[in-house]
Parts: sequence; structure tokens; C-alpha cells
Amino acid sequence: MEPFENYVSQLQKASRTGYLIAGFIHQRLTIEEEEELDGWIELDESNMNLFVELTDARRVEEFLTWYAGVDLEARLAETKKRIGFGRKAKVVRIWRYAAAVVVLLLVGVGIYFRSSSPGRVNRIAENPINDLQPGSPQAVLKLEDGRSVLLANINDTVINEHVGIRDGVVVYVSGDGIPVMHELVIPRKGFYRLVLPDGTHVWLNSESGIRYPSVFSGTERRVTVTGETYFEVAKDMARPFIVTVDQVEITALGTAFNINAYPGEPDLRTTLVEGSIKISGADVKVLKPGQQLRIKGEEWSLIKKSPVGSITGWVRNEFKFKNTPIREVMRMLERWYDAEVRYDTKIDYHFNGSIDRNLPLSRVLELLEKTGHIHFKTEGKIITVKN
Amino acid sequence: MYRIYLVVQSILKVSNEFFNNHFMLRFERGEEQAFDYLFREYFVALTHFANYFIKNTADAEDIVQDCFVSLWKRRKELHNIEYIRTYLYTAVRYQCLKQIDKRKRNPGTGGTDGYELPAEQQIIAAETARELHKMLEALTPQHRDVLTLFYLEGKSYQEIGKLMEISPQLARLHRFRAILALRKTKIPLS
Repeated sequence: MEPFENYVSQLQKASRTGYLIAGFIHQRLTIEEEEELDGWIELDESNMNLFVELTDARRVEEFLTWYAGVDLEARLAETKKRIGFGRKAKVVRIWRYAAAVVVLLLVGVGIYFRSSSPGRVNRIAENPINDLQPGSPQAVLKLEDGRSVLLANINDTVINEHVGIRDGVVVYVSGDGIPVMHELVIPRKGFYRLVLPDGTHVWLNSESGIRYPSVFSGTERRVTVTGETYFEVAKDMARPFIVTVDQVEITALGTAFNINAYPGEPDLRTTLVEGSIKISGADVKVLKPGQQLRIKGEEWSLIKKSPVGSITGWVRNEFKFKNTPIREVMRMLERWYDAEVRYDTKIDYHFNGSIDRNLPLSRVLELLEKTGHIHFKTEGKIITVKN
Repeated sequence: MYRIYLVVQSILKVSNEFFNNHFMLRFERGEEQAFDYLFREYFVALTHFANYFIKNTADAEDIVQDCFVSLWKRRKELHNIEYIRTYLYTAVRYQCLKQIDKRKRNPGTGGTDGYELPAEQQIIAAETARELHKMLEALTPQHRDVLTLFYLEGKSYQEIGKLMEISPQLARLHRFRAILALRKTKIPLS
């Protein structure tokens, strides 16, 4: 009986270790348990290797995919039939795939969860069901290995050795190593903030994106953007910061500027808030603070005094209008509420003022209607503008 | 704080003992629920373990199934849940090695002989799988339904609400609760 007793205690230990590792993967260990786990890991190099292997994100993903395919309930029914129990073959299998998807998201979001918070309180309630809700912090982070991490309702996590989420902002750590390309994509109704490895802050509005390396090596810092982005570039005289957008390049040293390059807008607008930037493409222009350059194909026009505060209002989560044409306003609403706007009138009207972007659509339209010149009808996602 | 922790630990220990005695009684008596519990608890982990030797999930499931059948025949001999677990792992391992042996004698039936790693590590991997599985199983049926509709069928909260006869807000809440449950489930010490 002795070897069997040995097996029993070996299994007890293995089971406890399994509990600790699984708990680590799901971030639910107490401090004492973490210490216990650390003790086991440090006992032996093979323990350390096993721990690293079992907690590897890809390995967990593999496990979950495999797990979703294991047909436990069907096997249980079959086994019971063989033993001689009655029927009762309840097939509840499909949910396992769904749960696996969720865990993949959680895992993608970071094996190394340290402090997890339940996320934002969602603005539901008080609004009728068919009202369109405002956008919220949402993004998809595409990693070099092809993995996509959905960022929503996450405040703090570590994604890998380069990048994590801190206070709801994607933050890269400065470091060396081989640069790999990452991409942050913001859907309709989303916005997100990003801190690049050089300390440059980037705000991204809905339906926008940025591609950048995980590490800036060499003599330049280069990124590519689409949609609307606001940059506060970290000063580094030795390495110019270059943004590629459509057919132009914007070169900055240490400076803040806004780029509006939505495909649906009539032109590409770059507005300088402070410092200095050079824009080059079909032409070359150097901007001073407060100036805006509008590019429409070969046509470059410089606006000497632009309403900087309104242009960057979205960064503070406000709609800010300064003599803004109605069609431009409505395009903002389309992107932020995932709506579609139709016109029953040829109205050409300009708005002034500011509105909180956290309001549901109905409230925003109500405020716009208060100007007395315009009316809206909403049906599902469709807003019709009327006289 | 630490004292509270110790108290909780000892309560869990006592309740584990109680559970063990109670469970064994029902198991030896041949109660269906006792078998269900054991099967649901260990099937995934043992299949994971067998799959390491066999490298084929369906074959691994077959072996584990056979081992549960033979366990049931011997249920009065084991007396203790720790022994049951040990019996299961030992039996699965034995059956796997036997099958690999058979494959070797009949070349062309596939399979590999890749079991160089110590089995202890595989047991740890399997027990990790068991804990992950328990956590996933801890979801309520409503949570599961919302997850399925949301992630697999791409339904909106409105649609989920209609299907489940709850408000879209509640559907949304269920989804977040399910995610939190997946992240936070606390399973008593084993």
C-alpha cells in the first residue's frame, strides 16, 4: 500500500499547485496564496519552467479552444448508460464556446492582472430604450502576433512586456529590444488614449486608428494615423516625430496638434495648438500656433486663426462648435452615436456652443433644436433633419 | 486580518471533511448525483492528462470514460475522495501506456511516444485544467445564455432581452456579471 500512499500525497500537492496556477491565471489569489505559489516556483527550475509554460497566454488560449471541444455532458450521459443509470442527457454545450471567447478576451487582456476594477459604471437607466447611447472608451489593440485585444471596461492591466492599461489609457514602457508594429483601432462610438514608448500622448476619436512600433529605435519616431487624432509630442530634439496621414507627413519636435483626416470630411485639417510643425507632401508648410492647414488634393489653404479650443473639444469629451456647419456637426454625431443622418431640407446652418459628449442622443438633439431653426426626427439609428 | 484568514481556513477544512464523508456515503451507496459530481469534476482534467500521452482527444475521452466505469465497479473499496482521485489518475495513466504499447506493436495506427516529461508535471497541468474548468462551470444558466447570444450569435442587447424576456439593460448587466464571475469565482480550497 506504500506506493499508493505516495501517489496520494503527490497528487494532493499537484492539485494544490494546479489550484494556485489556475488562480493566478484568473487573478483571484490572496496575498498568502501568491506567496505560496512563489515558494513553489522558486523551489526548482523545472517548476519555474512549468509555471511559465502553463500561464503563457497562447497556451491558455490553446487550452480553452481544446476545452470548448470536450463534450463532457454527452460523455457523462454515455458513461451512465453503460453503468446502467437512467437517461437525462442534458446537452448544454454551446455556452462553453461563449465562455471560452470571454476568457480569451480576459486572457488577452492580461494574464498578469494585478489590480482589476469592475470598470466604468454604465450609463444606462433613465433613457428610453430606443435612444442612442453615447460613445465610450473602446478600442482594439492589434499585436504583432496577430492577436487582437478588445479594450473596453478595463482600467488596469498588463498586456505584455511592452504595453499595459493604466487608468484606462494604453501605456507603453520605454525600453529597448526589437520594435514590432502594433495598431490601435477605435470603432464607431469609441475613443481612447495612448501613451507611446517615448512618452508622447495620443488621443483618438471614434472611427480612427494609429500604427506605431512598440519601441522607437533609430533617428526618427514614425507613426501612421487615420481619422481624428490629437498629439502631445514628447520633446526629443534628436529624434523628430513624424506622423504619416493620407499623402502627407507632419514633422514635429515637441508640440501639440490635432489632425482631422476622416474620409467623409471634405478636407484634411491639421491644427497646431502649440510649438511648431512642418507639413510636407505635394507642398511644404510650417505652421504657427493657432494656425490650421486644410488639404484637399493638391489644394493647400492656411487658416491663420482657427478656434483651437473648439477643434480639440473632443479631447475633453465635449462637442464644441464655433461657427460649425450643420453637416459637420451631424457627421460628428454619426460617428459618436453610430447613427445615420438624412436631410429633408437644404438647410445651411451654423452652430456655436458646447455640449457634453456623455449625453444620450435625444438630449443632444434637444439642445440643438433649442436654437429654434431646426428639428429632428429619430427612428432607430436614423436621424432626419427637418426645417 | 491574518487571524480571520486562519479562521476561514479552519472552517473550510472542517467543511471539506464533512463534505468528504457525506460524499463518500452517497458515492458508495451508488447515488447518481454523486457519480455526476465526480464525473463533472474530473472528466476534463483526466482527459487533458490522457491526451498528453495519447495525443488524440476522442481516444483520450474513451479511456477516461472506461476508467470511470471501472471506478464505479470498485466504488466500495476506496473509502476516501483522495483515493478516488489517485485511483483515477493511476488508472488513466496505465490505460494510456497500454494503448501506446499496442500502437507500437501495430505500426501504422498512428500516435507518438512523447511522454518524456515526468508525469507529475502533467498532473499539475491537468489539475490546473480542472480548476479552470470549475471556474467556467460556476456560471449561472442565465449568464451562459447571455454570453452565448452575445458572443456566438452576435445578438444585440435588445434582441437578447426579447429572447430571454428581460429588459436590454438586464441583458447587459448579465453579460457584465458573467464576465466578472469568470474573473472572480472563488473556489474553496481542495
